[in-house]
Amino acid sequence: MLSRRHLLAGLGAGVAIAAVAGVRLRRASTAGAGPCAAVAGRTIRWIVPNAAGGGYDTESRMLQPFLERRLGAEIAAANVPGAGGIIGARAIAEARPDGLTLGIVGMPGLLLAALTGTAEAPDPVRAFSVLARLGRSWHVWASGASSRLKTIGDLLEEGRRRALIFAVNEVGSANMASITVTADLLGVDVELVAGFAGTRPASMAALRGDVDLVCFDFETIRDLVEGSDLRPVLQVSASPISRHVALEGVPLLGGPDGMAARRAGLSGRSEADTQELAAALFAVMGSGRLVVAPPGLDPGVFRCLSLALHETLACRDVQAAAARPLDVAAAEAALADVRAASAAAPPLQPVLIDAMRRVRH
Amino acid sequence: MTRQREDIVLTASFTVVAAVAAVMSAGLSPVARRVRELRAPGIGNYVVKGKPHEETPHPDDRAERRRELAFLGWACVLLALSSALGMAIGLSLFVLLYLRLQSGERWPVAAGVAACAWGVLYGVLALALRINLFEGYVMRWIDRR
Amino acid sequence: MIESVVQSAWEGLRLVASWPNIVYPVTGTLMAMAVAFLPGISDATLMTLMIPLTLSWDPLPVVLLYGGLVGGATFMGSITAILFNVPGTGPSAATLIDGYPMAQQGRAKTAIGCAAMASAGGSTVGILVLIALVPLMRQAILAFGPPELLVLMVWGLTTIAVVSRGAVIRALIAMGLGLLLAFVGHDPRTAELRFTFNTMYLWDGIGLVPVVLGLFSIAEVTDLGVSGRHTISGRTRLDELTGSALEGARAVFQHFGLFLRSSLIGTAVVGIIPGVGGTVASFLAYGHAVQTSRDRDSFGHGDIRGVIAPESAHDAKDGGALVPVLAFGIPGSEGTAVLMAALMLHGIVPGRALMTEQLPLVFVIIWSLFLSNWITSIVGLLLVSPLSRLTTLRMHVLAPVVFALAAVGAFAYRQRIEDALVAFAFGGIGYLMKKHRWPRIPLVVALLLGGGIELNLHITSQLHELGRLNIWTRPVFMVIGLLTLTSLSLPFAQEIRAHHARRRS
Repeated sequence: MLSRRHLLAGLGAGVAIAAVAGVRLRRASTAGAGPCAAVAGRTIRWIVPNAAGGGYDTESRMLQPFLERRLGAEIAAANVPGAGGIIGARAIAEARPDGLTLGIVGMPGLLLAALTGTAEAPDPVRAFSVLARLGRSWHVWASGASSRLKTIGDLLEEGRRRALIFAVNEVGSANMASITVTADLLGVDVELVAGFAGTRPASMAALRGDVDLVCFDFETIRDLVEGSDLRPVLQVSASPISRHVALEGVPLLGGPDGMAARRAGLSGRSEADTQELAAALFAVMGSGRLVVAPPGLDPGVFRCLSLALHETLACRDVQAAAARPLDVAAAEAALADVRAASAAAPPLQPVLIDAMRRVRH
Repeated sequence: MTRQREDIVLTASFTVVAAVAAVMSAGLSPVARRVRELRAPGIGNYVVKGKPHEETPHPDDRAERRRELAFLGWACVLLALSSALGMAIGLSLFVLLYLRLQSGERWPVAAGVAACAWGVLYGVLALALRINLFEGYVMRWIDRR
Repeated sequence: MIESVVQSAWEGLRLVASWPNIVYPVTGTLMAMAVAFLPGISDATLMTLMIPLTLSWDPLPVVLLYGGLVGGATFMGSITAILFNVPGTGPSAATLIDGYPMAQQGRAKTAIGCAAMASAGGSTVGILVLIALVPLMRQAILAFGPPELLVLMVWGLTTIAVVSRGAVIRALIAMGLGLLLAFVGHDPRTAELRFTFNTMYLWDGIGLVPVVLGLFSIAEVTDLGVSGRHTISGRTRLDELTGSALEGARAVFQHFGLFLRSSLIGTAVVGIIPGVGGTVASFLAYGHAVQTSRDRDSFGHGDIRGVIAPESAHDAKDGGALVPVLAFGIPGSEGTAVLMAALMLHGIVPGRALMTEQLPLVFVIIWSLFLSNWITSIVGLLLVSPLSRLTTLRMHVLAPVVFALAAVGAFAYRQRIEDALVAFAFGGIGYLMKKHRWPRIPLVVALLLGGGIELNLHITSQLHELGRLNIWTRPVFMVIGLLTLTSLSLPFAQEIRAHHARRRS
């Protein structure tokens, strides 16, 4: 039987809840008044789809003070890790499109998830409002310092005798896709040893001689390359990744004179098919790390945010503060790249699915 | 069998096996009374039939069972309040209600501790440490309107 | 080479101890200690907050501050282990085996004093050993590949079974449960989902933090409340508590041999292994303490040696744990991952160049961490009375506060409300396990190590099939494998010998 005390307690709690709810409703109703006024003086929730200390997290923390100054808003970064970035991406895609939820997503991962039939992954083209591109990751194949495989020639020669052994983080990841498609284009077999905890443990496996090669974003392993622990043997791109001295003389996969074109006959594909597959790989890998918001953003808010972000990312102070070179692009260019990648990606699907099937057996 | 059903069947089978092991080990069944664990001397621990079992440290009694059910109930209240109203409000309300109704503390004490809890949750965690606290399904529904 | 290492160490110490540089590690330590007391809130939270605030700083103050932040959290994990039976970090799970019974007996001050002294002393030994081993660090880390990691983790697991005295079979079952829970989720080798019931929540498996919060925080409070015990220590006034911090600190010197051996286990044996090194080191040291004692019956019931051993090993490993981060950029925890990120943003790139050309800076971080360990111990000693007072707080008031903090800690881990549900589910399981005398630590440690064991086992087996692995040419693997077998068979051999001796007499 409820006593008067209990009723009063309930009433008090109800009043408190109603007060807070009223404040929330009032804030919600004034949210859309004027472009960029939507975020000035407010708190933007910035979703990072990996754990603290990861690449996206570091970049977000680095950008935070610059963005806060430019937007006049407080940025509250929230790490939402899980499922290879898919959970964080979904959190952004399903948030309210009021300009107060932004985040970073890795497009290659989402495009590959869509190709390999991961139902839970958000649609890379339609699920977001793309505001700007932060950077792109271009891979290199690299061997350990003590390895006999010092050049692409050594690699291909060895590849005629046996499968080349790669260390990868996980099956279905962007670096696995890069390896299997590149191997297919070169006409060599690969064995994937998956389960390494990250770039470093996998690179150490190559250093130790447990595996032949690794394939990672060049900027991530640049310090190991500069320290002569790893040696790049192939650039997985159509044009030189950077002007770094370690990449001088390292052949390209793509381009008219690239390794894929030279090996076209050996892989059993026509030259046109080879170019199509290579173009698909580069388009997907080149879609980059994007700053996005939920779909359905008010056009004025979208314009203001995308301009502010692009200006901030392109400024010299940010470029200097970043731990790795940024490859910035405005909203339209970034979205065009994503659409082109999505359209070009289908030739990758049979190669990836076949590779995953082989790994599982 | 679909992957989901497979998971359920395997988990259910495992749970049954684990429950049987737990029951036997705790000496709650007639079969288990014949099967006991021995402490040293002996080689490690092994199971021998027919020896008397150890006293459990928590002899069943009604008061203890009532307290267990009370804690279970309060855990459900905490989860319901924090899911519905969010962590800052829901948990503070939980602390207030627990201290008042379960612990029998006076209103000033209960309100004081609940206010401190709110201060830590909102002031220290949410504002100072910028930890995103769950805003609650009710608040999410209001936000979407 | 040794000369340049000693010179760099001296230069680093000079930089840390000078004014105003010393302000940074002290501030970082105190901030980290305050935050670390909240269950489930990791040191990484504070460290990520500091990144944008320190972006415009020079590298040296950043390094000093972060050294303090990394070191500040570890001791608080031991405090919560002793006072509340809640391991704040993986390594402090070994401390609670004997630390918490001491608190229940009203000897919390002695336990905390002992832990403080063992921590400070252990980190001192650790630093000295580290300075001596710096020239060999790269080779040492490279020597630990997947086979070595596998056998090391198995060694850690077997030690837990061996030290679960009086309930080895239950410990093995709990360990099996923990391993099964560790296998839930996405398998990185095959991209298959196991036991996820079509939910995205279980994609990354069952989180360790909600499980620990449930099995320990929530279960302990529930058990205390249900059993009708009014306070943790059974006493309601501070003057009713027995023992003293000084008595605890003195005990470390009374068992100096054990303290020294445990510190060496922490540094030289496992401290440099990223990630699991701390937990394994603590349990190996505890197991060593049990196995090398003549009178073992008091272990698990408040034996101070059960606090000295893991605490010495735990803090001795701290300096060593930084080396894989700095030498190879391999973070062992979320905290060290953020440390690495912060360093890279200031142009300090881990790797060969840092270890050879910027060795003084490496030692600045190490000395900052060392200073942080001493500060946490000193502050811990100063706070012994108020901290022990917590064991006299009435459960009626403590229970809802602990429940609320546990719920927040579980949610803050991955920003998922489901983690709070999991924490309370495991709270119920932990309560039942405690009630029916099932050990919980094997479950937690198996959950911590299970994923790594499975992955390293498969990598090892795959490399062996590919002909890339010859275990006979890997001495570290052979040595640790032998130690594992010895650890497993030693208690049985001792029992058989004792059995025969009793029969003869």
